[in-house]
This record gives sequence, structure tokens and C-alpha cells, in this order.
Amino acid sequence: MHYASFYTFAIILCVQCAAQSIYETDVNFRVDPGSRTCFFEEGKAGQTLEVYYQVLDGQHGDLDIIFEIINPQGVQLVADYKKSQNSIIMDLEMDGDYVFCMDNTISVINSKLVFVYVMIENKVTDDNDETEVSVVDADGERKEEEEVIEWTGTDEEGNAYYIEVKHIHESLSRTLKQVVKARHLLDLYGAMKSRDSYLAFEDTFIVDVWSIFQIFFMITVGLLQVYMIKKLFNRSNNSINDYY
Amino acid sequence: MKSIKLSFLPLLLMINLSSALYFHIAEGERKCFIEEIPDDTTVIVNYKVQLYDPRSGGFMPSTPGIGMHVEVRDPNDRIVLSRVYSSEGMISFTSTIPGEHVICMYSNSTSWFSGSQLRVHLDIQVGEHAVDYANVAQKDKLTELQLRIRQLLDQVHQITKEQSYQRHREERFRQTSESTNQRVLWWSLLQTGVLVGIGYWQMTHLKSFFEAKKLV
Repeated sequence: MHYASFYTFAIILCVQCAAQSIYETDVNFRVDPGSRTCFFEEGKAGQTLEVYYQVLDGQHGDLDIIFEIINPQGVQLVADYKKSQNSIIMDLEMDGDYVFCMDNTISVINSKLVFVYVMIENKVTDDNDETEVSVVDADGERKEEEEVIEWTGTDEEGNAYYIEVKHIHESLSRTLKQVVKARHLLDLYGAMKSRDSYLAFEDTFIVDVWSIFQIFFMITVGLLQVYMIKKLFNRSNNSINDYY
Repeated sequence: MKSIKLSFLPLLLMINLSSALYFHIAEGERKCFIEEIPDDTTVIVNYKVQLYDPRSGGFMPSTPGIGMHVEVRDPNDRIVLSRVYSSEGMISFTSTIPGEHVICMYSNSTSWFSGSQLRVHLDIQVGEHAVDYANVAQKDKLTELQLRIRQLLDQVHQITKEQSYQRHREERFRQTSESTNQRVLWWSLLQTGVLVGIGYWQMTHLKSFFEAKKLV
């Protein structure tokens, strides 16, 4: 392995696609019953917006919420009524602050926990990104390297082989993008599992409450039956005595 | 030999607080966020607070004297940190137990105009998102290729931690389901016992009642 040659090629690689800024965030909001929570995000015209929301916890009620997206001019772009989850991808048409609202006025006693994921990115270009290789020289000026920089290595048989540094960098960047996507999918999966945990907890509560109610109901019915029969016989006895 | 200078590294995710999400919070109102994180994970919360100015109808850029009280609780409801911060700052904590951590914030100052609102810019970064790679690159003098490899390593390490946390959560979920099933069984047995007991009590009570009435 030629480490020396590797370090000599430590230069600045400018990848065109890396100038793109992606903003993504995921938050869990708890919305109290009868209230409305909104949050704002800044967007620019031409950017792509992706929103994914899922109701994780509905306490003792349904897993649903009213979700709205309103653009800076006040026009409602998305209005979902009583949905438990949805994924929205849309292009933004104007600059400004977009409003995302979660409305829980549909419920009187149950607060909802909502998982929201928002990603705003510049439009993804389809053309292949060319990796430019440039070097900063002693004057501090950036110059593009004319010759192709390669990395030298030796394989098992002792033969030297060359890989362009450009290709190594592109491959690494691609791998990193895939791994970031995998992380994001894991986050979504984690949110779904958390919803299942809340549901399981709710099942335990339902089982307990209904069982106690049934036991009390049975005892009440038993006592009522005995009371009714006794009253029946008491009355018939009294009515017989009335004849005498 | 051309000198090599490390300029600003283009990163895949650029975090800029002015483009973070923001929300409005009224006086005395308390906003809570829940983050479900594995253990030994660093969470960094960047926030900025602006006060609504009723004269101009806008928000004043940064107001001194406005403090935010931030409280972080761990899954066992113990307080991890509870402090008053200034109007702009960074809070960081590391989780020791895996589970749901609750980050609550509310304003503790009463010196604003009554009925006004506070605009809070918030950015919560968990785990490897919390690492500032520009700093790491400068400190460790990494080339861009090395930085990419470092980023990949961090991401994969975080995935491994998340996976083991998922396994731990599945185990807890299975325990809850099994306990629910057991409860169903025990409640049914109890209800059958109550039914049999009531039936028996009814028969003996009515028998003694009829014998007292000399009908039997």
C-alpha cells in the first residue's frame, strides 16, 4: 500500500451536489384535547417538501388528528381530516414561512402524540454530478487539476493497480447517502413500534376496566334478582292477608 | 509542492438555526417534546427566542432578559437537567437509560407585554446528527475522504445502537402483551368464581327465606 501517495493526493474535491442544502427534522408533538398546535418552517420557491406524520398515542380514543399545511399567503395546501398517518410530497411555489398545524379539537378528553417528519430540499437534479478535482496552491488560489489523480495500490500478487480518487470519493458519497436514508427509515420504523407500545398499554387498561365493570354488574344483578323475588313473595303474602 | 489547504467542507446535511422550525408559545404555556433515544446518546437542542413586538407587528431579533426554563426528564421521570437559559443557547445532555426522554420548555419571565407571544426557534439533533463535522475535520486535520469515512462510521455505529435499542423495546412490548394475556385469563377465572359464588349465595338465601315463610 502506498500511504505516501495517498496523502499526496489529499486535495479538495468539490462535488457539485454537495452544495445542495437539505433540511430535515423529526419531532414528536403532544397535542392537548381541544387545542391546536402549529409550527412554522421556512421554504423557498422551487424546493421540494416532504412531510410524514403519524399519530402514535391516542390515549383512550382513536389514533386520528386533523393535519393542515398552509402556505405563506394563507392558502391551505393540505387539509387532512381525522387521519392517523399520511405522507405528502409537494413542490413549494413561493418563498416564506409555511405553517404546519395539528388540530385536536375533535377530542374532548384524549391528548394525541404525533410524530412529524419534515424534509425540505432543493430540487434534485437528474444530471450526473461531475466530481471536480481542484488544488489550492501557495497563493491561496484554487486551480483545477488537469491531470487525473489516482490512488496507487498493490494487490495480492504484487501487481500495482490504479483507482481514480474521483471514483473513490463518488462511491463514498453514494454510500453515505444510502446510509442516511437507511437511518431515516429506521427512525420511521421506530416511531411505528412506539405506536404499538402505546396500543399494547391501552389494551391492558381496557381489559382491566371492562373486567371490573363486569364483576360489579354481575354482583348488582345477583342482588337485584334476590331482592325482586323477595319483594314478589312479600307482596303476595300481604295481598292474601288483606282478604282476612 | 503545492500547499494543501482545507477549506469549507461541503457536507451532506447543513444545519442552520435560522432555517429551523419555530413555533409560538404564550406566557406561562409549557411545550413538551418527546424523544425516544437509546442509551449513551448525546442530544443537542439549539434554540433561539424572539419576543413579539405589538408596536411593529413583528418579532424583535434578540431580547435580553427573556429566559427559558428547560427541563429534561428521563424515562423513569427523574430530572436530567432543569435550568434557566438565556434567550439563545444550546442545551446538551447524554442519555444513560434507553427510552422516552421528555424535553419541556416554558418561559419564566413576566416582564413582557401581557398577552404577547414568544417565537421559539428549535432544532433538536440526536446522536450522530449532533456532531459538528466541520469542527471535527479541523481539529483532527482530516481530508475530505477521511471525513466521509468518519461520517460513514458514525452513521453505521448509530444504526447499530438503534437496532439494539429496538431489540430492547421489542422485548418490553412482548412482556406487556404477555401480561395482558395473563390478565385476561385471571379476570375470567375471577368472574367465573364470582358467578358461582353469587349463584350459591342466592340459593342459600332464598332457601332460608322460603323456610322462614313456611312455604317449603
